Amino acid sequence: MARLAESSEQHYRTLVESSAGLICTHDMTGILLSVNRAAAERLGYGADELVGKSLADVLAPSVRTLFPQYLERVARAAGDEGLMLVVTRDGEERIWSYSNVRCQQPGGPPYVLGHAHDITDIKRSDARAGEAEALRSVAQLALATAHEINNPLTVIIASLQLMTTRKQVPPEAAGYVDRAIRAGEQIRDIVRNMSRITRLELSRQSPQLPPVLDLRKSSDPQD
Amino acid sequence: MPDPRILVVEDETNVRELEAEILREEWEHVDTAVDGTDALRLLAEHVYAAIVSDLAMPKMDGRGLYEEVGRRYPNAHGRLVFVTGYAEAEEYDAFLRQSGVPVLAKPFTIADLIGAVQRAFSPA
Repeated sequence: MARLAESSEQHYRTLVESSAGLICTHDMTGILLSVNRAAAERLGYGADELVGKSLADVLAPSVRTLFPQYLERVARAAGDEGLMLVVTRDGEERIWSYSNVRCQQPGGPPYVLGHAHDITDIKRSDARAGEAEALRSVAQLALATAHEINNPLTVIIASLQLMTTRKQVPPEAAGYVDRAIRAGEQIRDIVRNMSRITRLELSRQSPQLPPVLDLRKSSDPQD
Repeated sequence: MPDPRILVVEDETNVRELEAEILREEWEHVDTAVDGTDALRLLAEHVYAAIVSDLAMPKMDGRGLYEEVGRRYPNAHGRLVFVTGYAEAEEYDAFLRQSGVPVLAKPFTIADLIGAVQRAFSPA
């Protein structure tokens, strides 16, 4: 019976060690008791290097303050699941989706069995798809807006020019008309940039204001 | 060219009237049409030295007009000029490159419009 139990434990140990899933156990204070090879390698460590450290040590500094809350949740409920932002030995931040359960062997202290998988590439791909979709929407809006603006702008610029050509502008108003034509031409250039948007570049007009789409940086240069 | 006749095709009333007014400063006979269908009606009645047409219009757009003119009056193809605020649009981009019809982008200046019409009189 004891041999059977030993064989079974060995079997599960091999399964965990050879699993591509990211598996660890930690005590109720977050100290790592075991880390499988896949998880350690993904973080850039040897498996033994992480044992004895806190799980918080491999979390990205920006989320480390949330770790006590995680420990509270996992102590209160039977487990916890969600996303965690880890940092590799090289400093790269990765997103892991985890599903951890609280366990306890008869007569032993409670501990947490953690299982995670790395979803960074999926998240980045989703983010890229989202950016592409946003770009498509902005470009479509810009093109439609450009067309709507171009018609009245044509009327404004050409009408002012027509008044000038026909000498219908009194001398004292000539400066204003010239200024209005130049402003119209400025709007024309802005609208042309709008119809050449190929990427979304933001910039701030002032430190107090939120960043907005920078039309010049977001557009292909004119031919 | 004595007394050339020019056709302006544009669905936006303000733009259409303005284009016609600018061209009438230079030439006496300028007719206007509100879309491609209207333009074909006038093309059946007169010979035009230049056809200045918007690209995006309801009923028959500039592309439809180009194709119909090609079928009915093949010699008139070289006298077409498109005036458009949609020059960057992908859906027209391939057509414009393929047809080789000169394009005047809105907003244009008076000199731009007159120059484009003069070039349509004697296409390269």
